[in-house]
Amino acid sequence: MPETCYHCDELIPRGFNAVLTISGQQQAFCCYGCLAIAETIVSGGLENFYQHRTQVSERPDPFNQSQQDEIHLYDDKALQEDFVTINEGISETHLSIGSITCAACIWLLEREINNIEGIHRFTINHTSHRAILTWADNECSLSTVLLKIRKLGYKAHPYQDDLAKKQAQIEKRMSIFRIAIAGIATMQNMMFSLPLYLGGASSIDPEFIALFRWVSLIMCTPVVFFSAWPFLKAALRDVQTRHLTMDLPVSIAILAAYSASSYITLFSSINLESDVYFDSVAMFTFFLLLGRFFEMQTRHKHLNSDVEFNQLLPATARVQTPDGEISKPAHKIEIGDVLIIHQGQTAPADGIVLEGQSRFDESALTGEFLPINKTVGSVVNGGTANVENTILIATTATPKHSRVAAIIRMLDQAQHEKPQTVQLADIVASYFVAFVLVSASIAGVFWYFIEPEAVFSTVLSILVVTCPCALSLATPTAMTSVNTFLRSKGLLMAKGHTIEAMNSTTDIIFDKTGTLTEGKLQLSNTNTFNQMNESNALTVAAALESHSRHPIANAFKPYFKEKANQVETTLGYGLQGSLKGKTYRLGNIAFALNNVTPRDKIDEPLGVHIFLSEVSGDKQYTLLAQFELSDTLREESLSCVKSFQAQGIQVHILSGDHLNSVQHIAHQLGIKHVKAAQSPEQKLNYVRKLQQENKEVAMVGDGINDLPVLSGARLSIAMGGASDITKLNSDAVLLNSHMSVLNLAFQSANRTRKIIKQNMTWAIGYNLLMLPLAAMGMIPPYFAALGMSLSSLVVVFNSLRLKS
Amino acid sequence: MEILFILIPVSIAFVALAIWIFGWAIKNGQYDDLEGPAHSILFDDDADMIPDRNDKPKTKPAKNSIKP
Repeated sequence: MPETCYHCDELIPRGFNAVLTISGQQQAFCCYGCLAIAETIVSGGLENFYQHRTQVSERPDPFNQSQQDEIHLYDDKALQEDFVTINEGISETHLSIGSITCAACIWLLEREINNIEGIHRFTINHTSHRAILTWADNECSLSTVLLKIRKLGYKAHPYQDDLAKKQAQIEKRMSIFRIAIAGIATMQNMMFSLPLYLGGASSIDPEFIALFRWVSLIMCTPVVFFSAWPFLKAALRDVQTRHLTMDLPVSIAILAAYSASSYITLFSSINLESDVYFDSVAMFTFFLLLGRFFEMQTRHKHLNSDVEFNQLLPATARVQTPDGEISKPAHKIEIGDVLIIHQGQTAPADGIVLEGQSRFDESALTGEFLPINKTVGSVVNGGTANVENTILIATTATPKHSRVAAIIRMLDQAQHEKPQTVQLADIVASYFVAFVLVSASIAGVFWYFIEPEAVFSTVLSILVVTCPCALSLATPTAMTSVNTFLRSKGLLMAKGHTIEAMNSTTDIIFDKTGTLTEGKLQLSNTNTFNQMNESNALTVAAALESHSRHPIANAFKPYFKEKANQVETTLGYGLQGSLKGKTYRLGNIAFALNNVTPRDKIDEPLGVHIFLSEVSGDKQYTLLAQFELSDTLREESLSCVKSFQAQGIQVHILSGDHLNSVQHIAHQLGIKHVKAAQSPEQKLNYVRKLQQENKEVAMVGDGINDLPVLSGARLSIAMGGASDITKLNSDAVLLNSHMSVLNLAFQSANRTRKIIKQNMTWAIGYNLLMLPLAAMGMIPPYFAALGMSLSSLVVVFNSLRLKS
Repeated sequence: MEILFILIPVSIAFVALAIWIFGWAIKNGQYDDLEGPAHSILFDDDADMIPDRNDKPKTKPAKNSIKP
């Protein structure tokens, strides 16, 4: 049984040993990052965090000196102007906090931060993961707080309230208020209508009946014109667009019942033959609003809506001026500014290299995980990270017009053109609504000829009895249960159509980087030549690579025994160094053999290949070993792909990586449809082409470069490691990296569809049964109300079966 | 029973007051976080007050029940 990390639950690499005593027990960790966080937590006396939490924590990203410097830049008063308000020496700012997995994280953060000297208040909202921070600027600094948050393993960014966010908050508060009004009015109305239902004409005096009706009218009026306003507005829109949804009969029922009851209250003589339905109107509105509110809550959960593309680019830049190096807020960068990008920093804008030589990690943009060489004249994109040496770039595009920003703009466009999903409920509902409206009219006409006075009450009773309460609950309740179930497994449904879309998916496209693979290189094969043995070759290679920061070097780390000396790096080619008096070269074949054609037979390279050679005193190069490195497959990738294929879903790979490595992975998984070295535009075109062939496409991805294609696909699933903005724009987010959950989700989608169908059959069946009875005027109002509630309960209980 | 003609309007006044207070609470941001309070009440630091596990093995708190 392999041991897993106490902090993040990931496998502990073989041979790695980091332990800490927590609550009297020794616990092991997978990396020094996790260990450092645990130490911080324990030293703050908050080890209870590990007992409180219900979800494992996220594995922290490495935190280096330059990132620390970047955080210190937030103390810059010029930069703070944008997001800090100061009132009588007390500063206030809003922070958006990432990596929060459960309520215990919030407890931990609030405890730790409030313990810092000078902090007045620090509270985190459990739903939006936004924090409000107030502090005394002369006692502590903003960077102290940000650093502390970072040390606990979370990420924090200052964020600005804009108009749209304020609007959203008002909208949410408004809907709570609407529910409150409807709820209070329902209770009051019940109190006044119960005597009328139970007492009958004999026991109540007419003046009390009049009083109860008037009070009910007063209570019900705000419900109709304030609480039910969203339904009325939506119904009006439906009429204008000639598209039937549930809102139309709901509105007709509410308005008709309300106006008829009002008419009776105001004008008709007091008799118990004519009923008022104020209680039904209020209750109906209350239940519908409640259902919609829960639906909205599920949708917004975990999804931070204040992620902006700004977070992809650093907020500050180091600018070279005649007076030396200064820091500048990123949005003030102008074209032509000379930016200094140190090792480990992210480029704040697009530019051309003026001075220096380095490598850039462009994985955020292209998905390519090997760094790209940059020399004088090369283009550096904003949002990519400098891996090696400090370089100077001349800005060619401001952050707003950088390549990252262009991708975001493409995303908006793709979203706009996304094929709209018509939900099953909507289709059924529109037919049902049409049917109810037609039969109510027919019944009305019929009664007009038989008994003109009864027309209004009969039509009304049809609309009330067929109140599509159960029908409107059929889908949301099933969705809520399956959402809860899948969330407990680690898949978060963000949009309403996700389950529908899963059922009709014919093609699933994986982005290779980070979805099917681990996204890091590992040694997959070693060939040795000229009497070299494998373990010696690995020791030498590891000794040389210990001087390199290239990701390839990580693959050799497990074999590290001692350091080589006199190591020289030839950028883009390899390393030369000496160990125990012998000189070795490690790099590509041309470098290792100094452009001499090898005598030994070398296989056609597939994946990344590194060669080791010995350099003798007289400059003879002898090939010693060939290392094959490849990106390792995720554990469940194979079974996941097989299971999709068994369900008849075509599996594709669409990657920004080089053809070689992509084909290697595709071959291992048995995937035939492979496209490599694709730009975001090409990926989107590929999806469009499939869609033109009437295929329903689901896309699984994680990079910023996948954003447009994720939005273009009918169903998009982002991996947990994806950037926040990718997650936000996807239909579903896989919070852990277990691909098997995807299979489970597709199976659950199938079950959900069945349950929804059962619910609808029941709801419609019940309503159809009641319709003729109501049309004949045989159903008393209290029975209609009781039946409606029971019918809804059946639907709710049926939906709950999905949770198991 | 005529007292109802007074009591019911009074109750309406109370309802109106309740709605006004509710509206004020919502506006004040008290309903912005619907989950937090439910969790935060459970995170008391009462570890010191919980009896030692050796004292009463049967009633000991499930300290390690949530295995990370």
